[in-house]
Amino acid sequence: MRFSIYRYNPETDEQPYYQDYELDDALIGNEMMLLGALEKLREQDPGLTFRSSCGEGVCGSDGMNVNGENKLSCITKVSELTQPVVIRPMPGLPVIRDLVIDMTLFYEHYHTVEPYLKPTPAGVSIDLDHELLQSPEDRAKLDGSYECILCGCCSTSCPSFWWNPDKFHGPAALLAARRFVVDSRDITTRERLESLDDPYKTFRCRNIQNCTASCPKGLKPSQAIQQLKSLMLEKQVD
Amino acid sequence: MMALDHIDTFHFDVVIVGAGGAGLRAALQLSQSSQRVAVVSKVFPTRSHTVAAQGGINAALGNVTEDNWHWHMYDTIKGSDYLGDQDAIEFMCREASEIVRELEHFGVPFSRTDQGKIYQRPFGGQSRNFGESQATRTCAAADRTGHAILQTLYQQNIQAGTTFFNEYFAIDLVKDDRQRIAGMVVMNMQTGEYQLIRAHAVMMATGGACQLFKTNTNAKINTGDGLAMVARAGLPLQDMEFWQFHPTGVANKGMLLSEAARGEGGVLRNGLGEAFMVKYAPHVKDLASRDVVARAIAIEVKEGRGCGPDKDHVLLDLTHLDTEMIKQRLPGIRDLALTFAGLDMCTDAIPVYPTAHYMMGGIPTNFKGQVLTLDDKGESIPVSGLYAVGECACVSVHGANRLGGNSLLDIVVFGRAAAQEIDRVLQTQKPSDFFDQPLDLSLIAARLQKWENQSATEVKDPTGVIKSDLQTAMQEGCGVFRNVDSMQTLLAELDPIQQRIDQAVLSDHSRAFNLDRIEALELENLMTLAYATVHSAVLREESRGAHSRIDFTERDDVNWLKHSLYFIENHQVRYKPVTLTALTVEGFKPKPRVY
Amino acid sequence: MSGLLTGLKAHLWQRISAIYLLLYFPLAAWYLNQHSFATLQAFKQAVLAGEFWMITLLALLLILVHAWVGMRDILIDYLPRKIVLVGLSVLGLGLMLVLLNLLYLTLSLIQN
Repeated sequence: MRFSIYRYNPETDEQPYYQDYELDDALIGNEMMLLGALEKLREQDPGLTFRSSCGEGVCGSDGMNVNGENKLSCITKVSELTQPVVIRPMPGLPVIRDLVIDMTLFYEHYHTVEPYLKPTPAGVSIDLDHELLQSPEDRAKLDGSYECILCGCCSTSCPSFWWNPDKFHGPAALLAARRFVVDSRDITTRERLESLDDPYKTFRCRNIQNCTASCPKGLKPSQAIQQLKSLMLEKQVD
Repeated sequence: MMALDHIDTFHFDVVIVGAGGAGLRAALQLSQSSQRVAVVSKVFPTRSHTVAAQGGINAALGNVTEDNWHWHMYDTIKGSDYLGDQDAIEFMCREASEIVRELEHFGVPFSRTDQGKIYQRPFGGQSRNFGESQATRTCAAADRTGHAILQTLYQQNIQAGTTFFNEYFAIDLVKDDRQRIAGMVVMNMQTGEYQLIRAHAVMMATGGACQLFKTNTNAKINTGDGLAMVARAGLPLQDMEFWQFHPTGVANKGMLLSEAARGEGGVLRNGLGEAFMVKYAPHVKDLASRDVVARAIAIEVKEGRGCGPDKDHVLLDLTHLDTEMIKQRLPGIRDLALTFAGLDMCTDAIPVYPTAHYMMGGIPTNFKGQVLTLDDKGESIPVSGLYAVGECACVSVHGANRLGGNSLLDIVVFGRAAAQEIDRVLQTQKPSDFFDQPLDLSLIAARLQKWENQSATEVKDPTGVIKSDLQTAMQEGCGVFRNVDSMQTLLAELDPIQQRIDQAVLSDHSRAFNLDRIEALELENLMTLAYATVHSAVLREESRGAHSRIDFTERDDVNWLKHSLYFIENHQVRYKPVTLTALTVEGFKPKPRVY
Repeated sequence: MSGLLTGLKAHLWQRISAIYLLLYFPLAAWYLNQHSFATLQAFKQAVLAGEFWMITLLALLLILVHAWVGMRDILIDYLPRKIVLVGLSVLGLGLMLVLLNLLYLTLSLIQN
C-alpha cells in the first residue's frame, strides 16, 4: 500500500512537501484502520506527527484529510481507500507540524456561542434537591447535536469557514449553539437566537453540506443551522 | 543544565494535572471559589478518556425502582471484596444523588423516564435491600454518559473562566528547599519548551494507565503519568496489584462494549451456545461483578468452550432484544461493534473477551483528596499541598474490584470534595513568601537531558518497540489469572526492559510537537507502574477481587485484609489497614462473596 | 454598508422577495399574454394599467432587494476581506442607479 503524506516541520522545512511511504499489504489486511497504518509508518519514521488518543472514534483527536475528505483515521478502514492514500492536515487552519493543526480559532468559536446550560436567571442558584424534569420528547430534540466530539472535520471542510474563519462560527460551533437553543431546560433561548443574528456568525452558511458529508459521527450540522434560522424567524414573528 | 536554566514561570493558587471528569469538576469548584486555577492537560479537555465512559453513573435516585444510598454502599463494599475503605465509600454513596442532580442542572443530557426524570438502568453488582434483588441505579445518557458529563464539565469551566494549559505535558513534581510540594515542570507540546508552574496546591487527576497491558479499553494517553510523578517524588502507590479486566471488550481488539449491554438484557454465550453465567452466579447471572464475569469468560475459553475457529472468545448476544430499544439506548456501542467487529448487534452476537479496563490502585488519598504517605512509625499522614482525584487516586472506594457506574461517580464526588478541601485550606494558608523559596530542578533536568542524547546515528531499539514488549510481558505475566511463576518470570523480564529504556535514544530531536519525546517520557512512567504492579502482586498471596491467583485461590482476611503501599526506593512494599468503620452507619463485616 | 439588511432580516427579505417573484412572473406572463403588443402604445397601456403596474413596480423593487442580499452574500463570500467594503459600495451604487432609472422610467411612462 502506498501513502503520500503532507510533511512540515517548522524547524527544518521552509515549505511543506509530500513524502511517499510504503506499507506491506500483508501487515494491513482487511481490518486495519488508517490510524493503525500511520502508527506502523511511525515505526519507519518516528518524526511523522499526528494527533490520536482513544482509537475508537469518540475523542475526536485524529481528524485529517484523507484522499480529499476529512475523516477520523481511527475509524477509517485502510482497505477501503484508493492508492496512493494522500493524507493532509485538515484544511483551513494553520499547520503546527505535519498533520497537526492549530485549532485555536475553532475552539474560540465554540466558546463564543456560550455552550453551557442556563437553567436559572443570572444570580439565582440551582436547586440541588430536585431534578429539572424533561420529557423524553424534549430530550429527543438534543439527539443529533449533543453527540458532537469537536473533531473539526465539519468546520475545516466548510468553504465559508475557510473564507471567514475568524468571523463565521462554523458548523461545529453552530451545532453546539443549536443544542442549547433546543434544550427545554435552558431559559435563554431568545437571547441565544438574538446573539446569532449576524451576517457573519450564522448567515455565512450557504448550505453547501460539506459539514454533513464529512461528519464522522453521522450528525447533520447543516440541517441544524437551517433549523436555527427557522427558529430565529419564528421567534421574530411571535 | 540545558532546558531548565531560564525557565518561564507561572504562578497559580492551584495547578491541576489532567482535564478529565475529576480534574474538570475540581477546577470548576475552585474557579467558582475564586481561586486562580490552572489545568494542565496533554490533550484538549474534551478528548480526555472520561469521554469513552459509556454505561452511566450510579446514584440511588430511585427513579425506576426504590433505592437508597445505604444499599449502594453495601454493594460497593461487597464489590470491592471488602478492600474498600468504608468511610470513603459511605461518603461517596451519600453524595451521589445530589451530585448527579447537580450534573443534570449543569446540562448533562441524561436520557429520561416517561415521567421526565433521569433514566436509570440496572448494572452488575447492584442490589436492593443488601443483596436481595437487582437494583436499577445507573443514571445514563444513552450509552455516551462519559462523553456527556465530560463535555458538560468543560462547558461549565468555560463559563467559570478556568485557565487551561492544553497540550502541555506534565513532567515532574517540584519541591522547594523545605521539601514542600511547590508546583511542577511542564512541557508545552506545541513548542517543546519547558515551563514551571508554581502553585500552593497541586492536584493529580491524570486518570488510568491500562496502556500497561497489550489489550485494553484505554486511550493512548492513559499512561499513569501522575502516579509515576508521585512515585518519583518518594511517595507510595497503593493497591497496584488490582487491575480490572472488563468482561466485554471486542475480542482481540479491546474496544469497550459497555456493561449496559447486559444491563439492558444482553447475555453471554459460550461455544456450545450456553448462557454460561448461570453456573458462576446463579442468582444474578450476567450481572455479577466484573471480576466474576471476566474470570468466568476466561475459564470457559481455557476449558475449550470458546467460540470462533480459535475458540478464543465468547459471544455477547443481544439478538433477542428489541431493535428499537438497542438503537435508542445503546447507539454508541452498536456503532463500535459495526466499525470494529463488522457486526450489527441487533442481528449478530458480538465476539468479546476480557480486556484491561481500570486501575483500582493509585495514589493513596483520604476522602478529602489529600495524598497520604506513611511516617516513620508506619502511620498514614497527609502530604501538605498535594491532592489526587479520579482513577489515578486510590481513596479507596473500589478496593479490589470496581462496580460499573462507580467510576464516573468517583471522579465527580472526589473532584468536588478535594477542591472544597483545597479551598478551605487556602482560605487560611496562602503564605505570601511561598513563591520565593528556591527550588531544586536538577533531578528533573537530568531526566530530561537523558533524552537529548543525539550521538546515535541509527536508533536500534525504538521506544515504541520497548513499550510494546512491556505491554505483552505484563499481559502474559499479570493478566486475569496470575501465579507465582508467571509473576516471577515477569519480574525477571522487567529489569532488561528497564535497561533498554535506560539506553534508548530518540530519533527525532525537534522541539515542536515531538511525539517521540513524549512517548519516551510516557514509557518511563509506565515502567514505574509495571514495577509497582508486579512487586505488589507477587507478595499478595491470596485471591481478592481482580487479583486472582491460581496458587492462592481463596481470600485470606486474616493476613491480607490490608492495603499494599509500593515505594520506588528498593521496590519496597509496606502495608496499612483497611478502614472497616463507616462515618455514620455501622461498617459491613467481611463475609463470603456470592452473586 | 454590510449592516444594511443583514443577518436574519436579510434572510427574511430574501425569502419574501423570492416567494413574491415566484408568484409574480407566471401572473405577469399570463396577463401580458392576453394583450396585443402591436404598438408601443398598446404595450404601455397593458403594463401601466392600474393594479398591474402596482404589482410590477413592487416586483421590480423586490428584485432590487433580492439582488442586494444575494450579491452582497456573494461579495462577502468571495472578495478578500480588505475590499469587501469597496465591493459592497460599488454594488450599492449600481443598484441605486438602477433604482433611479426605474423611477425615471416610471415617471416618463406616466407623463406620456
